[in-house]
Amino acid sequence: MKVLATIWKEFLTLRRDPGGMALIFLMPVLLVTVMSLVEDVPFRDYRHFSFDIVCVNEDHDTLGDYIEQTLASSGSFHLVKEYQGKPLTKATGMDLVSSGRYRAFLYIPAHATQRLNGKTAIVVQSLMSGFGIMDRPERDTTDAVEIKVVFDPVIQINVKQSLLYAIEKIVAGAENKVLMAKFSEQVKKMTGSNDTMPRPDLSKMIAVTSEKSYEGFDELAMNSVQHNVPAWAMFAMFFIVFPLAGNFIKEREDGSLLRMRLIAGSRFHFIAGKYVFHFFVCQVQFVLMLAVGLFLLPLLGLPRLVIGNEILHIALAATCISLAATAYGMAVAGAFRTHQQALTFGAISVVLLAAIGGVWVPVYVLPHALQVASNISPLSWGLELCNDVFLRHTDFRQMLPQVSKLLVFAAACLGLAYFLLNRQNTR
Amino acid sequence: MPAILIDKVTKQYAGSTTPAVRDLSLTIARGEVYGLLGHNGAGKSTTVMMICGLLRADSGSIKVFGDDPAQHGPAVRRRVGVATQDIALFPSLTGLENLQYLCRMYGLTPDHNKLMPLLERFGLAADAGKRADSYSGGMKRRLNLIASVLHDPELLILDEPTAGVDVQSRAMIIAYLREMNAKGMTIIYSSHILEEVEKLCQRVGFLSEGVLIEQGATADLLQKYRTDSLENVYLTVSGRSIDV
Repeated sequence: MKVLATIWKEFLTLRRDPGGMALIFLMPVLLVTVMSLVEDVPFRDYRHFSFDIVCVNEDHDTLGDYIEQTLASSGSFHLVKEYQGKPLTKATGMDLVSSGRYRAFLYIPAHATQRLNGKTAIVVQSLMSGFGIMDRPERDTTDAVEIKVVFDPVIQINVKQSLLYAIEKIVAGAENKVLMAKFSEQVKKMTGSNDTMPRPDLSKMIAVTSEKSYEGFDELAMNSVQHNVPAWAMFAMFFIVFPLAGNFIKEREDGSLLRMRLIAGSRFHFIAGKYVFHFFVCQVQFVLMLAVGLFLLPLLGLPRLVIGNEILHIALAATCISLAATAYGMAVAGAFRTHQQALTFGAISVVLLAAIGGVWVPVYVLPHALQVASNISPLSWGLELCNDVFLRHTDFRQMLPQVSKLLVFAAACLGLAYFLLNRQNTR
Repeated sequence: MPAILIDKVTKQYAGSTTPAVRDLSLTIARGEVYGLLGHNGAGKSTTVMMICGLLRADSGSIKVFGDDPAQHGPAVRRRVGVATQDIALFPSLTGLENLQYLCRMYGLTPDHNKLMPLLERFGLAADAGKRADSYSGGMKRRLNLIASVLHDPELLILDEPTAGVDVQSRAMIIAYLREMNAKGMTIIYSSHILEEVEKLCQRVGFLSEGVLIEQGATADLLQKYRTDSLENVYLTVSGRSIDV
């Protein structure tokens, strides 16, 4: 009865506080929406991403044309060969990148094919000489055929690496082709055969394939929505420390908490009522954030959040996370005496736990030390639990490690909060 | 059995070099109105908190209606009402909601037929549906007092119950306290307004630096120090103004 009365009191207090309502419900919705939109590009599949590259091909021969055609046909790159209606030169291409108009410039020098052929001939002759078929060639002292890629300094490192990797792969393919052709030509010369040599299919030698870890996996891919919705839901739920500790300390400062202490047998119910009410607030936040991922974000052109089909598992995850988040808020409320101390510590600690817990970027891309540190972040446990339920379709047994960690954390925080609040009563 | 029996109680806070209350002995009879006076930091609040069992004495003993509040805090608090100097209410709840909530926390059913007459008695019935934070200082004080007597305490402790209130509110509060005392309620009254104390309290005690430096019947003290005001008595025994 007393717990219900306190829940009702807390509900009335929150309902009459538009600022508090906005902080608890509206801000997280805005946060998850903005963060999902902002982080959409870094999470996007680069196969569906077309990148402009300024291209000057002075070779005008097999190698240059092959690189150009392969890049253009990949769909990932759009080659810019003219600027303001004029064909580009090496100098204007450099200018376009150094002025920041474009992010990358590919330069294929004149006679690149001719020089590659010359170098390939030396390689083939060298191979043949090993079998005593041809004379040993003179040592190749010329520089490598240099295909230059110039990047704007502001380009993201992963985009730069992807582009370099793609060009290197194309160039390696071109080298193979030229080498095989030259080898074939030499063999034909020596045997006097007019038949075309069969071309081996190198792609059939080694195949790297991906396997799905469970049925339905291929429908999913980690994307901005799939990462940001549970991550920022976690952040918002742990940010309950802000209104909860603030409310507690305000009541302590204005004397209403003292009145509760003066009412026999009400302290436990008062604390329990506050805990239960804020637990439900966290639950509502979680549902609200899922609704954003399921219904709002797709309207903004983002992928729809995948939450799996196990409603009971989702409810269990939400319950454990809410219990832990609310208990943390109670512990902070008990540990500090002033608004300023509690709110500063509460806010900074949640931001730190979020950072090491993989809210901003997934834990697996963090430095090793932070990956180790993430093991102590309840936000990391919560996020992992969400991924287990939403993406990995784990059963209850597999959820147990994260569930246990969150429940033990909640129990420890509640015990600490009760001890600290009780100590204030009998010091 | 007296309402309160305090025997040689000392309390020193951790980190403090001097005791907040030192060797305090005090007896308050049932049905008495006792004025507990002293400047800020004299030890009044510490004494009140120990009477309620919210602070433990370092030494000495306290009995409230025969019970040790440190051992039987809940039992003592069921018989004690405290109107603190701070307005200990929930500002976003209405006056009526505050009382209803506190009734439930006392384990009582909020009875409209009991609450509304109290609100009417203190001139708050018309504003019962308004948020407490919209009340004037006097209205908040009156509501604070009602909140302290919802469980019909046998002992009522009031800390500056008329601070910053208008004449009308002060008159209502004093009249109510007289009525409750007439019905047998024991009252400990702390105030800087010594005229009120003179009129209301049968006995007064002066605390200074945690020590009870003087106590006695109001009339006896005025006669002993040959003065017509408790203010002068306090100045004489403590060497300082009560407002300091």
